[in-house]
Amino acid sequence: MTDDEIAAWVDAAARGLGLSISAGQRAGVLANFKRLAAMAALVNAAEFDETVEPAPVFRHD
Amino acid sequence: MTDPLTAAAGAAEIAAAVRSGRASAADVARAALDRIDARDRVYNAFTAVTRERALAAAAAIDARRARGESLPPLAGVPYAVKNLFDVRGLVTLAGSAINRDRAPAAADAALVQRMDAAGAVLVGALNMDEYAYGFTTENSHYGPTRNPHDTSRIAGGSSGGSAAAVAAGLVPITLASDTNGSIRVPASLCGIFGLKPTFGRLSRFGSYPFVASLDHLGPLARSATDLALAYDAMQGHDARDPACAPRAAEPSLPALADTAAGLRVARLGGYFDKYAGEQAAAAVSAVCAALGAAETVELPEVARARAAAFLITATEGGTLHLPDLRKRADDFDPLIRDRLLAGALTPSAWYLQAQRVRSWFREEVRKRFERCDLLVAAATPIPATPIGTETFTLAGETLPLRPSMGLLTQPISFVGLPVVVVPVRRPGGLPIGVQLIAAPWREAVALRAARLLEKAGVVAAPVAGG
Repeated sequence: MTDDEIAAWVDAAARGLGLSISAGQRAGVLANFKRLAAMAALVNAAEFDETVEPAPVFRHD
Repeated sequence: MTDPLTAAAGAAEIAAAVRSGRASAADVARAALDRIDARDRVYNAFTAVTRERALAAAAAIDARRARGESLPPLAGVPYAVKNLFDVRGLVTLAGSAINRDRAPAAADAALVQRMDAAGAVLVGALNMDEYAYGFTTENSHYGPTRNPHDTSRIAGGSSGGSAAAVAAGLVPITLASDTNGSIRVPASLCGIFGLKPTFGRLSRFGSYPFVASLDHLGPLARSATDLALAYDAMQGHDARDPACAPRAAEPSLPALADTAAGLRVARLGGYFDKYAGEQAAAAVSAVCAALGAAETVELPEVARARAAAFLITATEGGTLHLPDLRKRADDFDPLIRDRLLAGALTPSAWYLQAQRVRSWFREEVRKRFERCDLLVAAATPIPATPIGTETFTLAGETLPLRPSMGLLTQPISFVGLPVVVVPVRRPGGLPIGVQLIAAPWREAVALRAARLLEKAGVVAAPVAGG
């Protein structure tokens, strides 16, 4: 994601979740989201077939 | 024989003295409370001291002995807990200002109940990073916790209070939590032993959560024996915690003194070498030599595993706090607030992919344990830094300090492996810890290796700060 895409996503997603990001919070939130996006790039580069299911498995005792 | 009333006394020694009548639980409790009064001002480990409760519990132990009853394994042992554990009558702060508004806990957390049932005496609650989202215990509401080895330095986090209290000999055992490294990082930086058991081993009932997918609870102490004693007292299924595995207790103390014969030990290379600084690498080498580590193994895609743990943490942590982020965002520590806000906005596709990476990585790690019993890696890249440090340099790369302290611990807890951190002796230098990583449910193997390293003189946790 580019910086502009990140800013657009953060602003839209925050509104969607009923969160207001104040001026004082915005720089920190954008910087942290940028780090999350970098982590996501690494995670999303993995290619799995349908046999790799998300952990954990819901189970009754 | 160590005087059970002094800072140097371990849990096993105290329990033996109280059970035999050589010392009263009341005297032991008063001595611990006096040490906390006299010295904790410097460390800022404690956020609450439960004096009345401790003296009452100690008196009850002494009364049982006077009636001729045989006493349980931790009789009279003073202990304290990270302030995310429910303690009856105390507000569970979880390092926050927001939680101050909550009602006091109506009942003790499961692990507190079990420690008390084993005869241990609760003396207080301990400082932590706000909502457990940190590796340094630089808490903006309650102040930083200081490292007893050098009080200008961090104790590590998020269980800094738990580690500092043990390192300084205020109490021999504390309880803490570890999601990505919060037991192991402070154990390393404060030069003590820590156990993060297998995910799902110890009940989380009655503790304030951070990341449901990754939270573990466990003990800190100054010896392998004391870790095993506390761990054994707390084991066993608890139906009140849905993540607690329906698994019978497997006592670790009986086999603690077993030899190393047949133990297949390997050093973790690749990523774990890359992010180990000079002191960390030397500590790993000393441990590997003493344990006869035959080879170096690499895990695949460790950076990806760490990134996935980071995403899961941010998403679950952020989402947990959404109601307060909407209503009172400015009551959070600002550094933590912005991390939580960003995490709450993570697309679900990223989160689910991270959970798939977790399934994949778990399988890769399982294969390595077919050929090996114990993996060894440093617990932190570097020893404790001065409070307020923002960055450090490793192998030519400048890294942000606070998230990077957990680089070596995060991929391991990601797949819930049991880990004992051992403090490598570095006379004249700051301590640093090494992770002994066992296969799932094999805590006893890691504890046994820790005991061997103690007997070999490679690891030790003498009281710091005199």
